[in-house]
Amino acid sequence: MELSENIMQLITRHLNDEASKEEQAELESWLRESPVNKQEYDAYVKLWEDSSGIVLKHRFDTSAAWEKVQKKIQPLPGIAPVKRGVVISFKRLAVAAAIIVFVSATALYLYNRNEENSWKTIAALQNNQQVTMPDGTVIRLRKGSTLRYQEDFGDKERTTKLSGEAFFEVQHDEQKPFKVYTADAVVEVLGTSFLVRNTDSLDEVVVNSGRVRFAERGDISRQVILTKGQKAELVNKQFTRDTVLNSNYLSWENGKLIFHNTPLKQAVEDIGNLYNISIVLAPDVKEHADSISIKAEFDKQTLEQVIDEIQLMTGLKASRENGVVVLGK
Amino acid sequence: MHIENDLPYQRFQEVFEQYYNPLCNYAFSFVNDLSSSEDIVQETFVKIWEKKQDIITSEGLRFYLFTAVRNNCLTHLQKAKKVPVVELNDYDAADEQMPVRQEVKDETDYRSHLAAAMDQLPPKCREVFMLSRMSKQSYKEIADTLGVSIKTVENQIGKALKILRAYVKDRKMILLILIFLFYFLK
Repeated sequence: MELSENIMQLITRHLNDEASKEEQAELESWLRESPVNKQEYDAYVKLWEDSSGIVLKHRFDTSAAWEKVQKKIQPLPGIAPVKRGVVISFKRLAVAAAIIVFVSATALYLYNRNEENSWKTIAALQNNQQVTMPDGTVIRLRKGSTLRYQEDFGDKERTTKLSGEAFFEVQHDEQKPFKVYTADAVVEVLGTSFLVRNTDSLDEVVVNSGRVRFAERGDISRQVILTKGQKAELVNKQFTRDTVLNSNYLSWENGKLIFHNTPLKQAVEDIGNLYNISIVLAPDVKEHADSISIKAEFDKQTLEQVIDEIQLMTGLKASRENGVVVLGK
Repeated sequence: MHIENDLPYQRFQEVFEQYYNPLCNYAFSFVNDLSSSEDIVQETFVKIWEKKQDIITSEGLRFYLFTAVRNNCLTHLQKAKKVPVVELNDYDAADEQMPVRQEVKDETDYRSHLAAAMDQLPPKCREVFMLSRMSKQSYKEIADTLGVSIKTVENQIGKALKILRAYVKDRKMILLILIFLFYFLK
């Protein structure tokens, strides 16, 4: 069907959200004229959407590129390229070494003394634990996790150290950034709510509201900025960004798992995460796992109940092997 | 860790993370080479940081980026022209059959088919359409980047959509023709 130039122009403007109210009305009345018109219109909408994915046919490595660009735009003072050869005598070197040893020993001593005196520890041993900090920030600490904070928390800055997993609802205070350190990462915010999960192999940050800066601890210039609905993982010094699809990252806190056409692979991961157990798909299931999606809601159910329901829904059978749940045919 | 209230820097990084991939794809549509595309886009960002800091926090940054990358690509192509990389004698009968074979193979894949169709749009039409889909800019911004009127942009977008629509509709027919041609050429 050949569309008139006028209609084509209306569609073109409409697709880019540039149609005026009158044009929009005109287009709608044309759509009502016949189902064929609607069909044509739908085809154009589909083309418009499909083409924007297709034009981005290559995936370029943004973090690697940022690293390169970042080096070019912010040369660190003191490591500017040396232009002429420098000869350092042994004597000078020895003096320098002695100074370095002295300074670092003193610093280490002062640092350790400082550590002992001013860090408080909260450990959630038996249960999840909720802490309200002096500044009003609420921290929900997952069972098995430890949070440390300075005694003078909130005086000058708000610094915490986390090992494990916690959800933070940070009171806004522009003057005092809120920081969470893990072994490998630094997360910094002004006021927002977000989750930090830290295991031996990864750090994960999920942002529920506001803006969060997630940096590598060893080199804070390596960082990503996350906003509401975004998450990122830091594994082996590499950041991977993703979109938050559901609220299951908080299941350990509220006991709820919500799957809304969630891919089986993701669902299994979320369940495993909540019950602290490994769930894997048998090889023959893995092959077509992408085609299986789960629609279900669980509210504080036991692992057995959840697994039963997954079995019912997927027709798969669960078995336990060495503490690992395997879903197979 | 001290993060100063360095707004331009934060914004710069955000924009980089958001647009690096689309810009590289945009550059690729001109220079057809992955690493040159990345070089061009990275250089563009570095130059903006060094010389055009004021633009980083302005609304026009996205427009500026796509325009600058386009200009740098054209410059790159002009420079490259002086060094003949592809000689005409590289062209032989084996190459000639390649595209046909490729398309028959990809026919089952709607996406790659649509991609092939976009590649075959008339050059001006293709450029307008690709820029629109990659940058998601307004027609006014696209018109300014390319130095044409809004009317032209709208017409070219409409034209591209019509061609692609016909292409998608007729792809079964085209497949038959291609298979026929393929046999015929063999």
